[in-house]
Amino acid sequence: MKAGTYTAAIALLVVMSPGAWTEGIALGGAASTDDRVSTQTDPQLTFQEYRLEISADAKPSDTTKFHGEAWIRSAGLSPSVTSANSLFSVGGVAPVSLDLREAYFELNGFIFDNVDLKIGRQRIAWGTADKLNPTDNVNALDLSDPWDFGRHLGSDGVQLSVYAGGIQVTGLAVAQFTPAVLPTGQWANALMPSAVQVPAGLTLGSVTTNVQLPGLSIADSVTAGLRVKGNLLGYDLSVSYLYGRQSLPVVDNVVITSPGLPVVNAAAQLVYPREHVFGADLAGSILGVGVWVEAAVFLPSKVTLTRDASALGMPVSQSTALDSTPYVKYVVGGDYTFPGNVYLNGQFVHGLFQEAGAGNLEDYFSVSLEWRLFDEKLKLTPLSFLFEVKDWSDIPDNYALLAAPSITIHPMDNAELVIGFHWIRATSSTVFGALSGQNEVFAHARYSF
Amino acid sequence: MLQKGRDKRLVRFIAPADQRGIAFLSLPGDIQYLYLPAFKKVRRIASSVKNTSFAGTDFTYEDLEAVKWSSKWVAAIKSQNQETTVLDLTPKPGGTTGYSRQLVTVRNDNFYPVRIEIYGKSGTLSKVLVRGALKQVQDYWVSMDTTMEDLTKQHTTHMLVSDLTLDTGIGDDKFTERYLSQ
Repeated sequence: MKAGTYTAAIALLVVMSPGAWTEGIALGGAASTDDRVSTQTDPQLTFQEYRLEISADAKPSDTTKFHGEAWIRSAGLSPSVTSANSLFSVGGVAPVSLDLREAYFELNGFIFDNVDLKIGRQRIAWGTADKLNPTDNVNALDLSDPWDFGRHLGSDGVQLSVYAGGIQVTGLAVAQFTPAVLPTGQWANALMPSAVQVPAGLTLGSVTTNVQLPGLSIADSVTAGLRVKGNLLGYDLSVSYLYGRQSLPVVDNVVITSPGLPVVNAAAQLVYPREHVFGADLAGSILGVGVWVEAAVFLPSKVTLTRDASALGMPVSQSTALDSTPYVKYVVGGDYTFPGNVYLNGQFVHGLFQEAGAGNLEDYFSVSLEWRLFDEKLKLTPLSFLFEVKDWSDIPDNYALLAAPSITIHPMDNAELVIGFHWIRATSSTVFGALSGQNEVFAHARYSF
Repeated sequence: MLQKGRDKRLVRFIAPADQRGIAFLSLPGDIQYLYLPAFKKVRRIASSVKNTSFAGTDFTYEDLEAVKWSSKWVAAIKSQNQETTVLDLTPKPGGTTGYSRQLVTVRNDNFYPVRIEIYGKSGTLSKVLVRGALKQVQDYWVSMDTTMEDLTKQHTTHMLVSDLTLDTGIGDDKFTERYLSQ
C-alpha cells in the first residue's frame, strides 16, 4: 500500500466549486461604482463611472479556449444634453457606452504541440514592471480614468507563440491602428499640453482639431512585434521589438485665422507618428526582495510642426514637434512583503507613459505600502504616490506629488468597498502643475459574480 | 489543483468570483509563479511573499508549494506509540522557510502525516494542520478534509476535496508558465 498525501506522487484534481460553469460556458463579471467629489469649498462631482463588466469563457476542449469581456459604462456626470431632442430618449438623458475589451479564441497546440495561436481582440501585456511599463506598447492607452495608470484597450490582432527549451518566442500583428482614449477636463490639459500658441496681444477664440489617422493600408496601419522570453540564472527576462505608432497624438499643423482681431481661431491637426521600440526586461529576487528592470529604446519618426498664421500677415513657421533622436524610458523597481502582511512596492521611473521625445522625459518615484488585516477583510494603503522631480537642483520649485491613500474593506466574498483621497501638489513647472490643489475624495464599490 | 510527483503543483481558482482565474505554480528549485488575470501577467514570487497568506486563507504560499520534505527539513523521531510517530523537523541550513520547526504526527500503519504543528521564526507554535477524513483511493491514502488553524489569528481554513482523479499520466506541460496563463 502506498502512503499518499497531497504531496505524494499522484496527479490530483480538486474542484472547489462548480462556479458559474454551465454547459461549458462560464459567465461572470462585476458591477462597480466610482464616485469622486472635489474637496473645494463648493464640492463638485469630478468623476463618476457606473460599470457592468460581463465576461464569458468557454473551453470546449483542453486545447481550445474562448474569452470575451465587455464593459457597459455610464459616465453619470452631466449627460451631453445639447438640445431638447436629447430629452426624449433614455440614451440622450443617461447615455451608456458598450466597450468590448476582449474577444478572442486561443488554440493551444496549433499544428504543433509547442505552438499557441490567439486571434481576436486581446490585451497583450508586455513588461515586468508594476503598471508603468515602458515596453507595454502593443495596446493603446486607455486614459479615461487618469488615476488608473496602466489601463489599456484591447487590440484586434493575432498572436503566435512557440515554446522550445524553456524559451517562448511570440510574434504578433495588429492590422488596424487604435488611438489612445484621452483623459478629459484638466487631466487632458496636464497630460496633453496644447501646441496652440497665439501671438502676443491676441486672444484665442475657438480651437478645432482634425485627427489624421493612419490610412487603411496595412503598411500604414499595422503594428507588428516579436518577443523572446526565457530564464537565465534564476531571472526571468525578455527582449522585444515593436513596430507601431504612438497611441497618443502629436500636433503637426496649426492654422490660425481671425474672425476679427484681436480674436483668433486655431485649427490643429493631430497625427500618430510611427516608432520602433526595442525593449528588454528582467525580473527575479535578491535576498527575498522582488526586483525588476524594464527599459525601452524608442526610435520615433520626426514630426515637424507647421504654424500657419499667414491670414494674419505672419510668415509660416516650422519647428520640431517630435525629434527623431532615440530616447530611453526605463523603470527599476522592487517589492517586499514584511511579516504581518505588509507589502511595500517602490519604483524609479524615467519617462512616464505620456512622455515622448529625447529631452522630454522626467523622473518619478512610485511607492505603495499596503497592510492587509483581519484575514484580508481590511486593507490599508497609507502610502500610494507618484513623486516627480523635474529639476534635481531645485526640487522645491520643480516637483509634483500625486497621492492616493485609501482604505479597502472586503465585507464578504466578492465584495469590495474602497474609500480614499486623491491629493495633488505640483509646481507649475511640471505637467501636473495645472492639477495642483485639485484634491478629491473617492468611493469605489465592486461586486464580482 | 493539479499535481505531478512530489514537486510540481498548479492551483487555479475557479471561485469565489473575485479570485477567479488567479493561478499559482510551484516548481522544483523553490520556484513559484503567480498568474493574475486582471493584469494578464505571470509574476515570479519573491521569497518574502512565501510566508504570507495565500488569497486570504490560513495557508501561506510556502504551505502550498510542492517539495520533498527531505530537501528542506532534517527529521528526528521525537516520540512514538503504537499508532503514531512524531517527527521533529528542523530546517536544513541554507534552506528558505518561514518556519523554525514542525512536529509531524505520522500514522504508523500507512505513514500518512495526519497532524503538523508549525512553529514560527520566533519559536512559538503558530499553526496546526490537521488532515482528516482519510480515504483510500486506488493505492493511495488521501485526506478529503484538510484544516489549517492559525493560532495567532484564531482562524481556520478548510480545504475540502470534492473530486479526485489519480494516475492520469498528466504531462509536464501542465506545469509551465504557458499553461499557468491559459
